[in-house]
Amino acid sequence: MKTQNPFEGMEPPKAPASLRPIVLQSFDSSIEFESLDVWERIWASRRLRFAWLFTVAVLLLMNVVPSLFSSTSPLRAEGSRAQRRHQLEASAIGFQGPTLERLVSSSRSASLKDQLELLAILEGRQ
Amino acid sequence: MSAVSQTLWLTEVLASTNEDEIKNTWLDFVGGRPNGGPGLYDLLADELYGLALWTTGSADDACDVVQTVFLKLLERRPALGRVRHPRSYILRMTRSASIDVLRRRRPTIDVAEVEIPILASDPARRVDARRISQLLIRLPPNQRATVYLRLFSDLSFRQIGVITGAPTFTAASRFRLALQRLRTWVERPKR
Repeated sequence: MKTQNPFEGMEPPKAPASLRPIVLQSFDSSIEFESLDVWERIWASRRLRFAWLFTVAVLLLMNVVPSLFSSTSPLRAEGSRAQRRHQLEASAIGFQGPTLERLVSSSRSASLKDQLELLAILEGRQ
Repeated sequence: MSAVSQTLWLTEVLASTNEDEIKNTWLDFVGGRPNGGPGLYDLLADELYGLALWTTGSADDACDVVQTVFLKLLERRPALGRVRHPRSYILRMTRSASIDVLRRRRPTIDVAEVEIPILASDPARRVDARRISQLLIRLPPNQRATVYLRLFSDLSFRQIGVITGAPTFTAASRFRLALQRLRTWVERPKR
């Protein structure tokens, strides 16, 4: 063995001919060859799945985040509408100045103490 | 262009043509076209069988490995569209399936009775081929696989590293060590 490559002039044996029909038969019996439709391709593609997930996440964020931090969020808008209604009702009854302010603010976040004071004011008025 | 560079250029052209053919057939296979499976088998079966044979040391096991690999390819077919280097991917599957076979039957293997056949068309080389067939099994499976992939699949050490799950340097080192050992064993037979 004088050559640098001991395998020079040699080659490994080829796959036996009997193997081919066995493998091809298992191909036929295992699966029907049919073209993948577009949904299968999308489902099989990791990139497309990530893109879909990313898009959904971005849409959710775009919907949720502004409504949390915006001054015109539905919750705040509803609160300010209720406050204005209370203000109109209180001024229609005849409350004015600091009493009106207090009445309106207590209707928004009324503690027990505020409610008692409000009751006393109303009773005194009557 | 010198004769050597012409030969090198021709080798590269043939290699890239073969790779392109494998990639096209792979796309047929992944796309579910009827000629994809048989085409892929015809292009790669010998190479996969050789690698499995060199790793397991058994013709029967090598046949099982090739069959297993193609069945797994069928199972994974819908997800194979993202594979960019089909040949390396299938060789890696083959290597992995061969190692599984080795792990399962390790307690029962008798190294002294196993030969890994290698053929020589030149009568003058047949004695050496016979001797190497007997010696190959004494190499660790990783070294045998590395030698096979380098010499017969004509892959770079980087590609071999990817297939065998080892760094490039380790692949090169395994190859060098395997050839060194074989030369030593052939020149100085074990007493």
